[in-house]
Amino acid sequence: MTLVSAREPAQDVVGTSLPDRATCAAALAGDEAAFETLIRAYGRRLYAIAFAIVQDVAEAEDVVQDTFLKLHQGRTRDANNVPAWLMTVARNAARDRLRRRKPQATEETFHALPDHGVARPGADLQKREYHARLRRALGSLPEEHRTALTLRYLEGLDYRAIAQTMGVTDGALRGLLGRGLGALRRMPALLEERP
Amino acid sequence: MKPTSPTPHDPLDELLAAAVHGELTAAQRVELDALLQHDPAARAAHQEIQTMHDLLEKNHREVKPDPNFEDRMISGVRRKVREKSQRETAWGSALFLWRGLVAMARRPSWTAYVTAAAVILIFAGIGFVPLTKEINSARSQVPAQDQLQIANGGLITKADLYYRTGQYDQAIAAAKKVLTDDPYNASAAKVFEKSEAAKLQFASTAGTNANADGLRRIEQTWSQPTPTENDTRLVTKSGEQSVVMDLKVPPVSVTAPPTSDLAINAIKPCPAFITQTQSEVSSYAMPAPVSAPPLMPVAAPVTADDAVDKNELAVAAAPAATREAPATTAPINALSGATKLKSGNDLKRVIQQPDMAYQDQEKKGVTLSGYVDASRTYQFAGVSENAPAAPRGTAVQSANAASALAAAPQLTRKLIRDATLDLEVKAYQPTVDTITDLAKADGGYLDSSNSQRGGNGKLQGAVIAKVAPDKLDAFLLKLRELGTLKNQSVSTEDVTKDYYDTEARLDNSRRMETQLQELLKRDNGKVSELLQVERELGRVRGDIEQMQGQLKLYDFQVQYATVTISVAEKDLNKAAAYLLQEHDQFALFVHDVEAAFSQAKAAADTYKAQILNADLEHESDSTMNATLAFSVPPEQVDAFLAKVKGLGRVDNFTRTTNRVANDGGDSDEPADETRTDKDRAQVQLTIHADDESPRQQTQLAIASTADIDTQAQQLKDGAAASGAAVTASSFERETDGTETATLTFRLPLAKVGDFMPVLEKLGRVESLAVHRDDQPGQAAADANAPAEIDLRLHNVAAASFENEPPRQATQLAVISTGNVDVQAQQVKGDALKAGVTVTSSTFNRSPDGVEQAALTFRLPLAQAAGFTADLEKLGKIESLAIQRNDVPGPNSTDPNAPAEISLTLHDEPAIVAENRGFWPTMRHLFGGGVTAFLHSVETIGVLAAFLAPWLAAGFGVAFLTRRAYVAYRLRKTAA
Repeated sequence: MTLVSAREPAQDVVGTSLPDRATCAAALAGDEAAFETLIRAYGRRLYAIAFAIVQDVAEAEDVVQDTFLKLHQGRTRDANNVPAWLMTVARNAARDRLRRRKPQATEETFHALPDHGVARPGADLQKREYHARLRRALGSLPEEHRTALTLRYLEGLDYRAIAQTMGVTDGALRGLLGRGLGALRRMPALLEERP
Repeated sequence: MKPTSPTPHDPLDELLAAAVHGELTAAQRVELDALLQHDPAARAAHQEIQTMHDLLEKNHREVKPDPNFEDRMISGVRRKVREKSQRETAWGSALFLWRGLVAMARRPSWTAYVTAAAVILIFAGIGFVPLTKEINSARSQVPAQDQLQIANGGLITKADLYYRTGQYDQAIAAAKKVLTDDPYNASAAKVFEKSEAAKLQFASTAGTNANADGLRRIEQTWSQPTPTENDTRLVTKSGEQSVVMDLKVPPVSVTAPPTSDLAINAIKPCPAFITQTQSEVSSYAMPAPVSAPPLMPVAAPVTADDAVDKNELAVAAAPAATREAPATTAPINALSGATKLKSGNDLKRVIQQPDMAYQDQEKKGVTLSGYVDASRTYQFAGVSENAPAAPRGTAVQSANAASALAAAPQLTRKLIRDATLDLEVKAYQPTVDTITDLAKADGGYLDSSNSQRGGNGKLQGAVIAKVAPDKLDAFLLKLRELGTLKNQSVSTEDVTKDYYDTEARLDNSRRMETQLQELLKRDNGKVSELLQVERELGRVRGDIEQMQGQLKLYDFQVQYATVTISVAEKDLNKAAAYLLQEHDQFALFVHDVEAAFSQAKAAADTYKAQILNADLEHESDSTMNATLAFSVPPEQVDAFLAKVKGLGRVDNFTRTTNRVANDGGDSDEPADETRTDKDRAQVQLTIHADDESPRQQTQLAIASTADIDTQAQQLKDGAAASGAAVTASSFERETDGTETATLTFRLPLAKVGDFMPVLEKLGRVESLAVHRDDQPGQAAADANAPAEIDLRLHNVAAASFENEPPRQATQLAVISTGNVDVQAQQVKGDALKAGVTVTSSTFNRSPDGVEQAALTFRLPLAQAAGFTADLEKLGKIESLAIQRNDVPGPNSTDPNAPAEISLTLHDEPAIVAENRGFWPTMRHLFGGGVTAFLHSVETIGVLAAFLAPWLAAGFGVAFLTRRAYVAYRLRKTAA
């Protein structure tokens, strides 16, 4: 018997075909079309990475824009390594934002404080509250775990694409995802209080 | 919820995750299936993972990017690029610049070189403008002197160039210009001299050439045969004299030498000198030739064979070439234009150059000779434009002119000569003797002499001597040697005409006498006629006698010249003795006119003065005035005046002294040895009541320690001697023993200065107030204006000395060498003995054993120095401070003013300098280090300030370039 649901693998929104080196070089040389291609190819992945860290849509989008802005400003000239550079810059930018965010919530305060921020009247109040809690729970995971999970769930990337994006091996990715999900399932409140 | 990290590694989770993600490998699937089948925990875990997976999917769906995400990102990035370009930072620009430079260096291309060259050029251009300005300003700051030198240098070079190219005039002009600005410019002077010399050389050569040319032409003209000779007879008449001149003149026309300046300069004027010889001309009438150059006759007198009276007229003229009329000469012109002549005298006058003619007494007749300057070797005759001239060396023969000149009869001239001399001699008589001898030697005699002796014994007189007229000049010269000639006059009276007139009339009268005698002899007339003839004869004889006498007198006067000599001995006018007459006049203002009047009269008796006048008048307004006049013996005058002047305030004192020569002479030339005697002096004074308000009022308060009454009495008695009058006085003694005397003195302003010290000596001046009432128009320093002094004299209460602030405060700190307490006690004892008051004393012993005594003394100022010296002997002086509160005015040196001495006497404490030891040293050391560090920071700051503008400029340039670049890229993007 197979308990594993035969789900369709997550579809890559952008498509599997990533820009080649020539496109990268053209973008670096100031070719606006190539630059746009790069944004379209890597934008969502950068978004996922940023979101994994900052856990905020608007901020994550800002990080993506800043990252491409830096590319536009010619902060790198190495066309061979543009994707990795983008990921690094996005990650660093997101971390910067997280650091600069005030007041900075520590793990302790996160656990101690009751949830008020998302309290809204209406039918889906409980649901929204839960989602926020889930996101905070995600936020408490190690960054790598979070990133891997976000890339998976947000972008629906398959393991190969995630490994490529994160620059890790397949085995390591499996470990990361397994530990991430495992940690979450071990948070009893998440499962018990789900709406 | 509890934190779960560190996350445990569970292989099951890995499998389950891969399962829910559909990423199981085949082997994993088998493994998982087996596990799920046998392990309920694994199944539960699977369930949980699945739930979590669903939750996450659901959760992430909400935050999943919408389909427009990419477009949004692209537009966002573009917006940010735009914004960013507008928020360009200097740092970004610098980075951009750096990158650009690096890129350029990596890939050098022609654009890089061009850009670099352009940048360098731009910077050089930017730098060059201020540099040029700097240089210009530096040049404009070159001192005026240097600029002048630069300008002069150019001119000198120019002048030298002119000189070398032979343009001497320009060279001289340029050099002169330099010398005007800078008279000591050696180079300019050199060029100037060189050019001048060259020019002169040139001129000389040119002149010689021109002369030669001129002479050659003249020679040619003269050597031509004379075409015709015009005989010209000139006849002029004036009174009895007539001049007839026959001139044979060729119509020669000689052109002047080239009228070049050089030639004119070279041919100096050579005027003709025509001299005249004539007999019977007084040698005194003509001055001797003064400025005639050596003369050389060039034409011997030519004898005119047809001259009637063997007189000759020869004219040789050497014309002068002058600047104005190079080819004409004045004498020849005048001679040839003889129509202008009026008489022979005129002729002579014209011919003679007045200052160059001289007399030749040896020759008879008239000779006109021409002379030329011997230094010139050429002569030529000039011609005037309208008259012919005589050729060189040709004598103009005068046929008849001389006859007119010689027509005068051979008569002796009768000249009366007189001379007057004033001589100042040492001794009168020897001089007169010498004059007599001299007169005799010169064929004369002493006519008369008289003398008189003056009051001072000096002799003076007049001597009249007669000498032969021709010896007169020699005689006069000899007389001059006898003494100092003060005055001399020589006169000559020509009586020739009178003499011969008289002689002629005498002849007439004699003839008439003879005729009258003949008439008488006829004896046929009436008596009345006879008588008439007789009378006439008598008159004629009288005339004859008178005329004979006159002639004799003339003869005598002509025969001897009269010399009148006034002889005076030296210092004749000096007086032998003088008498000094003194006249004093003044007004006396006194309080009591009557008393002063009688006192003055009494003084006259005392000093043996004679009262010439004494008048006491009562005026209508009840005031009194007195007038007195004395004749005082000279030896008593000063004492008498002092006495009288002391009576009151003197005003308008005038002294007139007359010196009268006592014994002849006048007083203008006093001799040193002259005796001067004093005559009795006349003293006139008027006495008036002194009601003038005092010009100066002085209020003086004096505290005295002496007896007030006695002092007041002494003052009153002594006031008169100082010229002060006591106008009021009072004395008071109160019950507490205070004595006060008040005195008012009235005295002349000038005496206040002398009198005040007398008052100030009485005691210590407590107050002094001077009120001066200078009135406009009056002389501020009118010495005799009245002044008043109000004196308040009182005795000093003993307490006041103690209460008065000390005039001098001395603070003395002494480190005791012995026992402080003992020494302090000893000092107190000494002070009491010396009469010094100890006003306070303290003794203190601090816990560390240091003993300190503080004592304060009060004593008179005079004792302060001595007492301080005593205190200083107590030990080592630690400090000494003296404060003096000097008061202005007469009390500044009051020896009795209080002084205070504060003495601090203490043991020597153990003093260790604070800045010794380890820590102070370390502090000092680190302090130095910190200082040095701060210095270095300061230096770096200065350096930064120095570099900052350059950095800013660099960044600015980079910024602009960067903006331009970004704008360019944006445009391209938009395109």
